[in-house]
Amino acid sequence: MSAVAAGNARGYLQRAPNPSGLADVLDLILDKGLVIDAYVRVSLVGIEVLTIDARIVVASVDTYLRFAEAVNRLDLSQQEEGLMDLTEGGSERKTKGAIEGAKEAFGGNGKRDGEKQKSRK
Amino acid sequence: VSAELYVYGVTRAGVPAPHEDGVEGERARLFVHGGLAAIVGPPPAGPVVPSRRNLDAHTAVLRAAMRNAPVAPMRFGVVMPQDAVERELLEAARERLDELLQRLDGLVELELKVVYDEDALLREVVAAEPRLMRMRERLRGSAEDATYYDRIRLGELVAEGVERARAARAERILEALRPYAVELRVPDEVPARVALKASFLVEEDAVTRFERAAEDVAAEAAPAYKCHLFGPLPPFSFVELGDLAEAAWAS
Repeated sequence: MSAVAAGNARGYLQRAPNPSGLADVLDLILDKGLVIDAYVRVSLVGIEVLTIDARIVVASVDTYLRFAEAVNRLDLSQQEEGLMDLTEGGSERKTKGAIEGAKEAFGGNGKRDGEKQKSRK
Repeated sequence: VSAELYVYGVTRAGVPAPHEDGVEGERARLFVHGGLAAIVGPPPAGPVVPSRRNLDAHTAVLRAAMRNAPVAPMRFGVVMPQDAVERELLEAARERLDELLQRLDGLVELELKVVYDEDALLREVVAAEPRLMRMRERLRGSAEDATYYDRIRLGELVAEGVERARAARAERILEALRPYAVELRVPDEVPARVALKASFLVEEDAVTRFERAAEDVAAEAAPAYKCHLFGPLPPFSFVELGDLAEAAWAS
């Protein structure tokens, strides 16, 4: 967004807490890399939780109705306020839920579950 | 029957073993054959459990090995008899592994994941298309039953708008970061609420410059999009030789 001046761009990028990155790069470690298929010996316990990110949005009546519903309940009067929030560095709050959900894919804790439920409605 | 080994990856012979505890806390070592070395360790009894600790250990061993020489990482959970490591991996794929290690020298992988906030993106989409705003206002005053098909139509248009916005943002981000990478991989499909996933092969010396560019991209995309950057990682996304066993039959 153009409201952000050059040189003031720090703090928007979420860096992994440690260099190996973990939870969000699981698919990388589990699906990529050299392999001889006959010798893969991974326990399937826990895989479901780990690959939950693989859900794909499909075009369907259900999806369309969900989008229509989402647009209907959208409070468009927030738009102005949202822009002001950004200039004050207050944008963090709005997107936080999605980020934490992604970060804590591993923990299987309440935040992740919360995100799942939200996306089902 | 030869002993089984957990295999982390392949590197060059003649380099020090990585000083790092691996899967199930077992120390990794090198199994040298010809000019190549498999990075190996004792396997767990039974299947390898993809626990947080084990997945981290797999990556940590590879990262430690990358400090000494280029590394071609194996996928998590590969357990092979020692003679298979020798014949099916280090001998059968030798030339291809040599080339691969040469190509990967001095390079690391960075993973970018861009997640979008649905409400914020919907606001952008509706604001950009007055037609959607009008449809929305018309539907809001009517009974749900009476407007079933209209609501489907609105949802379809919104879905298209979201996809257009997502694709445009993804393209913009890729264009901004492409100059800092040697190679770039983007999966065909992304999970729900993810605008973009991309793997970048980057020169170690260029990581800081890449990060700066990613910070600019993240600032521009906020608040509707949130960018996450992971790594430096072993180049998992840039080692595909196909199934190595098939490669062995072909050669």
